[in-house]
Amino acid sequence: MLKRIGFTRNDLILVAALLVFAAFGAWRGVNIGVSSAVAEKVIIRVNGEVLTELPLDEDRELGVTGYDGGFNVVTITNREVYIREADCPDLLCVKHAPASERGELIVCLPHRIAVELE
Amino acid sequence: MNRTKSLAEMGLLIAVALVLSRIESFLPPPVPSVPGIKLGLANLPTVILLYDERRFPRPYISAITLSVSRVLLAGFMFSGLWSTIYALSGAAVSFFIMLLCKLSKKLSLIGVSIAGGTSHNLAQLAIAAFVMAEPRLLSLYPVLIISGIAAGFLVGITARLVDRILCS
Ligand SMILES: [Zn+2]
Repeated sequence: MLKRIGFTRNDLILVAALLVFAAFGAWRGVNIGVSSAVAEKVIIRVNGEVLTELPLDEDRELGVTGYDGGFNVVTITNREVYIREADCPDLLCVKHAPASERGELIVCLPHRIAVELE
Repeated sequence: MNRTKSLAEMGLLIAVALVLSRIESFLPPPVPSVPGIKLGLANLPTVILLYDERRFPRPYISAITLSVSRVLLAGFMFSGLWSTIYALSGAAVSFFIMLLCKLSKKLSLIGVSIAGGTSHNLAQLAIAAFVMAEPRLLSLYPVLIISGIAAGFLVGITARLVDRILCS
C-alpha cells in the first residue's frame, strides 16, 4: 500500500531513524522524571532567571512582570498552578491547562515567563 | 514558458498557503507548553512548487519566494510577531532541508516532505528554547518529531496527488 503512493525504502529508513531518535528522547525524558510525580514547588523564571520559588500547597496569587514589562498573574490553588490573566498578545499561557505534576511547564513566550513545577 | 500562467499559479498557491495557515491557527498546538508552534501543514504549496519543474523553470527560487510571502502575510494577518518569527525559522530550515534531500535524489517526494515537516518542528522548538533561555524545552523534541512525521506525510501524499493532477 505504501509503495503505491510512492513511499520508498529510503523514506522508510528516514522515518525509522526519526522514530528511534524520538523513542530515545521519550525514554530519557521518563528516566529523568519529567512524567507524573508529585510536585512540591513552583519555580517562576523570567528570561531564564529564577524570579521566585513558591510552595505548591499554599494557595496564593502573584503578579509577575515579564521581560518587556508585560504582566501575568500566576495563581496557585488546590495544588495546581495556572496563569489566570495576562496582557500578552496571544494569551496562550492563559489558555494552558492548570499544571500539577512535577516537570510540567507553562510558558508565556511574548513575556519570556516560565512557570515550572518541581 | 508562459510567465502569466506561472504567476497565476504562484498567486493561487500563496492563497492556498494562507488558508492552510489560517486553519492551522485553529488547531491545538502539538506541544501545549510551547505556545505558537505550528504543525506545518502550510508547507504544502512549497512542496508542490519544489516539484513543479515544468511550470517553474527555477522551482527553488519560486518555492522560497512562496515560503517567505506566505509566512509574512500570515504573520501580519493572523498572528503576532512571535509566531511569525517561529514560522519564519521553521519555514527557512525546512526549506533548506527539503532542498538538500531533493537534490540528493535519495528520497521520494513523501520522504522529502517528512524531512521538511520534522525539521520545521524541530527548528521552531530550538528557537523557542533559545528565546526563552529554557534549554529544558528541548526535551520535548520527541513529540515534535512524531507530529512532524505525521504532518510531513500528510503534506507529502497531498502534494503528490496535486502533482499528478497537474501532470496529466
Ligand atoms: Zn502569554
